[in-house]
Amino acid sequence: MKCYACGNRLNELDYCPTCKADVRLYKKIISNSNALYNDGLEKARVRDLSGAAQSLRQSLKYDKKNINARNLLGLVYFEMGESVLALSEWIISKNYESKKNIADDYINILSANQNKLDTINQTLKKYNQALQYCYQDTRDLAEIQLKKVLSINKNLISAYQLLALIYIDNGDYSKARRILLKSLSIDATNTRSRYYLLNVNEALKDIAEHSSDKKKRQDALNTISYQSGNDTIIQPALPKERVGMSSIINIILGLLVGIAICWFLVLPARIENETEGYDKQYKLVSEELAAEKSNSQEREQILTQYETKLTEYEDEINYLKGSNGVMNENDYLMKAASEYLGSEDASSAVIDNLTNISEEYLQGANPSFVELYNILSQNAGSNAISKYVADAKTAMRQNDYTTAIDNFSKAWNLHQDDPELLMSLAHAYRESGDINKANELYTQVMNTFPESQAAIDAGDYITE
Amino acid sequence: MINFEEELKKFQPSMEVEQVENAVYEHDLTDMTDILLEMIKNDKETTEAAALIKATLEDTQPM
Repeated sequence: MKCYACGNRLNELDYCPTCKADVRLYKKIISNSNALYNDGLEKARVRDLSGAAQSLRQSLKYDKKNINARNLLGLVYFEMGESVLALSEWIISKNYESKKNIADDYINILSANQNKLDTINQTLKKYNQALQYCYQDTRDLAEIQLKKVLSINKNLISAYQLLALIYIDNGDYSKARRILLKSLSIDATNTRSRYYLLNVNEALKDIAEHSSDKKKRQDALNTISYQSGNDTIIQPALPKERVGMSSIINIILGLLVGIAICWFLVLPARIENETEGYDKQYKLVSEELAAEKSNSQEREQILTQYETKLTEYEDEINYLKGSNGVMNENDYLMKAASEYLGSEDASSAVIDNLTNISEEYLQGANPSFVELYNILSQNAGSNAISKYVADAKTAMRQNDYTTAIDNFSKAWNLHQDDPELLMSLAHAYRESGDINKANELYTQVMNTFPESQAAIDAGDYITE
Repeated sequence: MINFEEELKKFQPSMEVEQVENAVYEHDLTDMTDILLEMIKNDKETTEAAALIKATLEDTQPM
């Protein structure tokens, strides 16, 4: 404790050891303030908020700098729903003691959450609006506003009391009692709440005894109240639960909901679990089938290739064997040799057979084959030329130009150094009517043998 | 029985957050200690005034 005059610490003496000021009365004032604070604290612990507020206000009347009393008063106001009063007490407390003051924390909690503060402010505004509605005699609007307020700010005692007052005025004593009991659960000894509740109980008793409305009487009788010392204990009327039909309906509804839950939630999950396994198996089988199909196609392709090759090989073998009915080069060479050995005059027959063997085959043939071919070709060649020319001339005289052309062509093929031979062939074409071919051959004579007489003659025979 | 109008008069509007500043300024912070100090101060002044009057009277008394 510090001296009020000089501010120095006091001791157990009745005067200040520093400035000698009389502090006896001052000490008593401080002592009273502390005692009232303790009283307020005890009352607050048992939820006697009104009583606690009164004691704490008195404590502050004695000593305005009793920080604990002021902080507690703020808390009590806050619990009663009076947030602004609480805030003002904490601000004043902080002004007196700025260091290590819990009021600082309380203020920070409120101001940190701006939404909460706005909500509280809105409820207070709505309460004031409801009060205005009551003054304007629009109590139903006031009732609506107060219900909204209490749904948000559940501790605003004055809102409970005003709503109870409205219910009492409307004759809804049961509702008024419920509201007042809620209010008393916050502030147990609030004088106004207890006064209203007393009136409500009396009204209910009156109704129970004298009302002609059976329902109202029943409602009133459901209230059990008894005295316990100085307190009146009231058991609130609880709404009776309807049994029988409603319970059966509830059971049926519950069953339906359960079935619906099973159908829509549980069953699909189980079906999905079951089918998941089948899906996997199906997938595996599909993959195996696809692989098998792919292998099968591959094998078919290979088979087709082998078949084609087999056919080619068979044809080649048949061709080489001569068993396909067609004479091959070996046959022609053998036949030519046979003709030559059979008769020396068979030169043309030898040459005819040798002409069936192509140059291409000769290039790839074995050396023995080529040697035999050359021998036969040389030996039979010159005799064959003479025979072809004689036959061609005979054919010309007989106007058989086709035979003449054929023989002259064979002779030319064997001996292509003779311009006269080529001229004869050209004449044969000309006589046969194929002027274009004839002109072609005349031109060939002129180009191939330009210095020969035949070339000069050919120029005369060329026609447009 | 409760009279609605009479009871309604007892209800005061609740202070809103915007009114905190005013609430703090208008708060009566006089306590017993202030009254005591005032009394002591008045007592001192009274004592001083009495001493001054006494001295004046003594000075002005005829010899």
